[in-house]
Amino acid sequence: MHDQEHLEDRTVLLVRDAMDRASADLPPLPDLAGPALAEGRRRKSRTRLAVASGVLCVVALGTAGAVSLAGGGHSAPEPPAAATVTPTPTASPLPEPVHIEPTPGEESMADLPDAERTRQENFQQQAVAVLQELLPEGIGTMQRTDINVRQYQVTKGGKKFVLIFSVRPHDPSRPSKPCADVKGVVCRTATLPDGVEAEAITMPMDSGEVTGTWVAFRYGGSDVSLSLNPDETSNTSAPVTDDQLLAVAAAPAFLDLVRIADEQPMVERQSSVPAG
Amino acid sequence: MPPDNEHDFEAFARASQHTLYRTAYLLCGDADAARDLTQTTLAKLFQYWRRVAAADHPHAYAKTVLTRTFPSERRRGLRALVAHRHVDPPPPPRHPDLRVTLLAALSTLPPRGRAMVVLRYWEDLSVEAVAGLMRCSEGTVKSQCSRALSRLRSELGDAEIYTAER
Repeated sequence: MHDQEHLEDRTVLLVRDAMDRASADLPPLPDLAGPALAEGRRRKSRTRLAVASGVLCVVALGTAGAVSLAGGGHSAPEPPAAATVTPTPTASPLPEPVHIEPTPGEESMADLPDAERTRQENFQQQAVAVLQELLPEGIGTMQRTDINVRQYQVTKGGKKFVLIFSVRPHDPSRPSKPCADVKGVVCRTATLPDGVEAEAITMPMDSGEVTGTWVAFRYGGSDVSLSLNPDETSNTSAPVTDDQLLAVAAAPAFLDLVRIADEQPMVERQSSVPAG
Repeated sequence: MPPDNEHDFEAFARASQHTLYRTAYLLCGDADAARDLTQTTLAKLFQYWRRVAAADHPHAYAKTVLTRTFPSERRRGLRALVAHRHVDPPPPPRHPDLRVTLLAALSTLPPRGRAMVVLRYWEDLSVEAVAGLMRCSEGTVKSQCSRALSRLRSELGDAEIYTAER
């Protein structure tokens, strides 16, 4: 027992020493204060724009008298006529979300104006209803989270998988190349019913022993992605295949959700400011 | 003339960027990725600067933001790698240098495990603090760190001998 503790203490010392040496001789760091300030300003203005446009949408919808998920805009591809699962407006009160404590300084949905938060919570709940129905049977229980509109949690047998459903204004700097032939990464492309090209990827994550699955496509003016990550604690791969996620992406009810988020964005465009 | 809060932020960024860069390097194992992670962390801090500046320990705030930004940045990087058709990562180093062996050993750990090791042994945080930061139980931190330490011990074994013989 004593020997074991001694060995562990020695290893800790060795690791600390190696960490100190490893990070001591780094290439010189350019001054990041300026680029970070610029990127921070852009992040701030994007957040303000997203919240403002969301509030405007809520006001407009309130004036119209109802939130109609099936109603059509004209800027995005028309969905197929047949729908097997129809998203419906949620009745209050909504089920409690999974609470995720925000990083100090990070905003969560609790920081949104009331009207915008209600809009996003309703959207999340509709997404839960649709995705729970469309994802493979036995995948587990899906819940929304209160950290942001994109993040959900799928729980099964004590394992927790993070599901991200994101509809974000298109970022022109985002590469639009098809899947690459990278070791360990399995890529599939498919055409959704309305002619949209979708790409599905199963890729090694974390230590490389487990995989996550991801599907992405352009819709209207948005970049859409739906991904299920591995459970890092139990080292378990995402319990869904690329084919299954592509089937979800092709479902009319899912595309109805996408169209709503495309017409009334809930998150800001994502882009970066190069360091200089 | 920039507002005072921007002056304050820039002063904070310049004072903390090198420390953040070192921690980011241990998390990412790559200088370019570490620089990007540091910049993203600083940008997020500016985004919420009023709150950060009002905190008792802004530098601890910064470390928390860095650690929690790391997994999402890593996933974005992986997706960008796929989209840009990059090839396999560079081969492991030929020389049993302690520094490069450590980075290779850290890279075999899952991101959360790596973050726990860096926080526990580099930042010298308690098990309780790491658990709070990583949003998991103390038991998870203990088991992950123990497993990681055991793996690092076997990986660093040769390097330790090499170092001792230098």
